[in-house]
Amino acid sequence: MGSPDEALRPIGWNGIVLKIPSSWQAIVGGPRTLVFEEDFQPIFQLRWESKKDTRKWKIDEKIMEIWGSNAESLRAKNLPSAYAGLARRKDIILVGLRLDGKKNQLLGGLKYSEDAGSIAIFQLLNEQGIAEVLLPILKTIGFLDNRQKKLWQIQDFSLATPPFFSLKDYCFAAGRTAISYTAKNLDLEICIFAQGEKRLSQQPLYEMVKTLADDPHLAISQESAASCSGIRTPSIMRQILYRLQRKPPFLSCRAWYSNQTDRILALMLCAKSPLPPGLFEELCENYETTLYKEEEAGRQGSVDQD
Amino acid sequence: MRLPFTKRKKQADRGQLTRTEALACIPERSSSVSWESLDNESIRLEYPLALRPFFLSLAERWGRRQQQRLTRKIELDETGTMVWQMLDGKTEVKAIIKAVANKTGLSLHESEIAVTAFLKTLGKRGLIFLRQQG
Repeated sequence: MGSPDEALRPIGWNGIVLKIPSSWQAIVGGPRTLVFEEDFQPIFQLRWESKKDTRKWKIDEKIMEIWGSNAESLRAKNLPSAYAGLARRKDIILVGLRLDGKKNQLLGGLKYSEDAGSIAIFQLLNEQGIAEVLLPILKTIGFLDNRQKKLWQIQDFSLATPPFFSLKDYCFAAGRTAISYTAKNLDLEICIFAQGEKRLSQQPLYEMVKTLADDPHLAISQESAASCSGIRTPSIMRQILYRLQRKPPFLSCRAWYSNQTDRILALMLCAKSPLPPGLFEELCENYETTLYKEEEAGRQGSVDQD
Repeated sequence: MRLPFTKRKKQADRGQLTRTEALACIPERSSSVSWESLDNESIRLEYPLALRPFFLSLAERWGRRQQQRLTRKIELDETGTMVWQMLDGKTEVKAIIKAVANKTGLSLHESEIAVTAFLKTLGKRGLIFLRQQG
């Protein structure tokens, strides 16, 4: 069940960042929900929300809303000894269920940030052996505000987007991950395809780019055998035609093959007006696969804590 | 047949497995399935077709002899062949998932989606059944 000596790896999803043991898998359970497992056993669930108004958090009401009237926040005196390290943290509240007398069963807890206006609710799905790694994990939970770049690092990819992009849709299928984001007048889509070498033997990269862009006449430039870009900057008449077809006229798309991880990565940015200069290149630079980094972290076995 | 205005039983009441329990099950091949290895290292399965009596009677009318066994053949791809060969009656579903992830380079989550969908298809056709441990 993870160990304090195990390397922690970063996870980022829709406004939250944290670090988890490298042996855990992070599964997206919803736009603001993550489930962490080890060896297919769910251990820990995390979901987060933002404050809708400026009033202070009513923590006791929140606890009752989530866990019911039998739950209570655990103070230092009735905190299980394994979690004594959390007694000094004012931003982390553990929640337990009173069983008999003074004993409590730990259910989960809250971590909140008044500055960020966000609260993270974590629930323990399997308490066995988690005490030693819970404190390091909770310490690393951070909330990203609207001024910071958003980190999206989960499963096998990592991407940093400007703060004005928000999550639109996502799909984690076998061998194919697709996530789309939206901003004012901009749409961003990323894809990752597993077994890249096998796919390239069946379909060349430039055909994939045209398929992703849904434009068989896309202007293609092949930078190398493993990288291909497509761009569309139509004239005014063609812009009108695209708009009539409800397609964004301006589009940049790139696909490249990662030899280390055998993955094909693709990124597409489109808009109704000319794309902001430099944004597409910035996004491509920030987009990469993380499989090989996880393997290296596991081999190093170093402790990484705040 | 369910009576009108009665509630369906909840999933737990119908005896369905949780995800954790299902991943701990051991899939086994059905004895009615035969298979052969092909030159391209894939496997071809042949299994009896289970037809309703109405369709069987139609088959008889159209000249198929009653004694002739109606079968269907399917050919598995590389990954399907690998999974089929691991159905030895001793290997759990999660061990199969891990092996497929290691072989194909998929993540565990992707491998789970692919393997469970494949086993579900085999189960629906009656080619395998799941045995719970303990």
